[in-house]
Amino acid sequence: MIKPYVSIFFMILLLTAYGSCSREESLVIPSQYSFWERTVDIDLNVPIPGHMDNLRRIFMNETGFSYLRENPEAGNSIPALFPDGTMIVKEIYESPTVQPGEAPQSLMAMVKSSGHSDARGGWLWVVKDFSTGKENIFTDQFCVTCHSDANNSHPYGDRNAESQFRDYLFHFPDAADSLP
Amino acid sequence: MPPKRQIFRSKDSEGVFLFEIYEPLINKPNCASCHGPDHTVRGVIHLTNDITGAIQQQRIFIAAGASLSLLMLITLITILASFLHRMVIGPVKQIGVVCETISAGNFETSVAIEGNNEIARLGITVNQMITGLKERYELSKYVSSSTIQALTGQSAGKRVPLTVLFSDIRGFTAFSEAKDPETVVEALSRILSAQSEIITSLGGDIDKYVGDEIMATFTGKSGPRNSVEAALSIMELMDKSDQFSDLKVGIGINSGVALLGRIGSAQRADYTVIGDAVNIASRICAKAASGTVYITETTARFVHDSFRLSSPESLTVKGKKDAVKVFHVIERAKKRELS
Repeated sequence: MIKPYVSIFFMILLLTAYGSCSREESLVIPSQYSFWERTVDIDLNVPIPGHMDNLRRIFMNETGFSYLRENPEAGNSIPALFPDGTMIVKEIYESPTVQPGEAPQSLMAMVKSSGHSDARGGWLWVVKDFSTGKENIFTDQFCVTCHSDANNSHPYGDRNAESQFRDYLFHFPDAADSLP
Repeated sequence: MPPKRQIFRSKDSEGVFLFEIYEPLINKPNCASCHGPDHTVRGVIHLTNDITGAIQQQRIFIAAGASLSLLMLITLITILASFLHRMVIGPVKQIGVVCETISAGNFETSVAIEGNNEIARLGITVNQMITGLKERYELSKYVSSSTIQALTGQSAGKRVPLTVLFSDIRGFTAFSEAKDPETVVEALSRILSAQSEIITSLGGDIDKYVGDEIMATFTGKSGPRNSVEAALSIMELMDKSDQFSDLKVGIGINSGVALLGRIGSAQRADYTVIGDAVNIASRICAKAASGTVYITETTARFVHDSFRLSSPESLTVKGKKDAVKVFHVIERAKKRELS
């Protein structure tokens, strides 16, 4: 009679352990993001609310660039709507200039996951603090509130003069940048 | 961490309750064009609303709700208690009172039955028990105690030491012929009842009534003394009272071993004593004159210190070849004589 209870106990223990492990493994931002293409070649250090003048470098995965190559008019003459799986990672450095060998102090990522309950505007807004090594998903409206301006004319990059829907991206990437 | 909306309730120094919202105003890129990009939060919108009235109203509602709930609870408990008292406690107490009344020896009582629930069924059972007890009590008037005991015990015969008392009314045949039957029966009942009361009060057991005769038995160490005491008491009562139509009794007492058991047939039986000790008591009773108590030598050995006895007499009795030595009980012994 004891055996079934022992089995159930160990099963629960196993599931709990799996749940804990899977949470650790479910880090959103992959470590190889720095091998992706950058959306803007230049280092961004123009002061902007939220990031101030901290230097920023932005990378996008192949899913995003493939979409742009297949839809070259997206974000210009037609609205842009990146597919699920698109990931954009923004390195945030401590100062406006990067010293050789300097690592970013944090990462901020947009992960297209339109069906996720924490998604805002179809994106998960994720921050990774290297001082703690932990990732957090923003569940409030802070990020999306600012980035919603990207879908109208704004003061950055090409300024989106046509007020085209650009799926919350200010510095809308050029697909040609990712070509070999 | 990004600024977040804060919502809370507060109370100022004047006791006013405020509902407050702090909403950060983000310096969005389009705002930064004019307001500058060097700050993330342009300001905070602070909204307050006096909710004292609402709070008070809420408190009134809570107090009213709690009072109403308490009132309902009390009402419910009262109804439940009343229901329990009416349906359970009251009837159980009544059954308790009835049982106490029965314990006091009064069988003229019963439980009032209401409804058809468990309590009512208990009341019915108690009433049946009362009926049974009453019947047994009434039966005890007609049947000896030993017979009643035998009904619940063994019926096999056994030899027991005892003292047998016979009391017979003298001149009763002539009395019964001269009086009407009602008077006879009434007088007989009165005399037998008076004797029986004395006998039972001294621990004797009425074995049977045979016409105008009583047969009683006394057991135990004090049996002989109690039987003689009963005989003297009967004589004194008959002498003093004028309610016995001047009738007198003659009494014979004998002690010995007799056979106690169920005597009779399967249809009709008595639980009684038989034997020589009984026969001798009966025979000397027949010889005892009106107002006389005869005891045999066997009994006399037990009681000579307690009673003043006559010199022994020899009586020839039916069924006995040898004469039986008997003593006439004169009176109770005086204390100084006892010493």
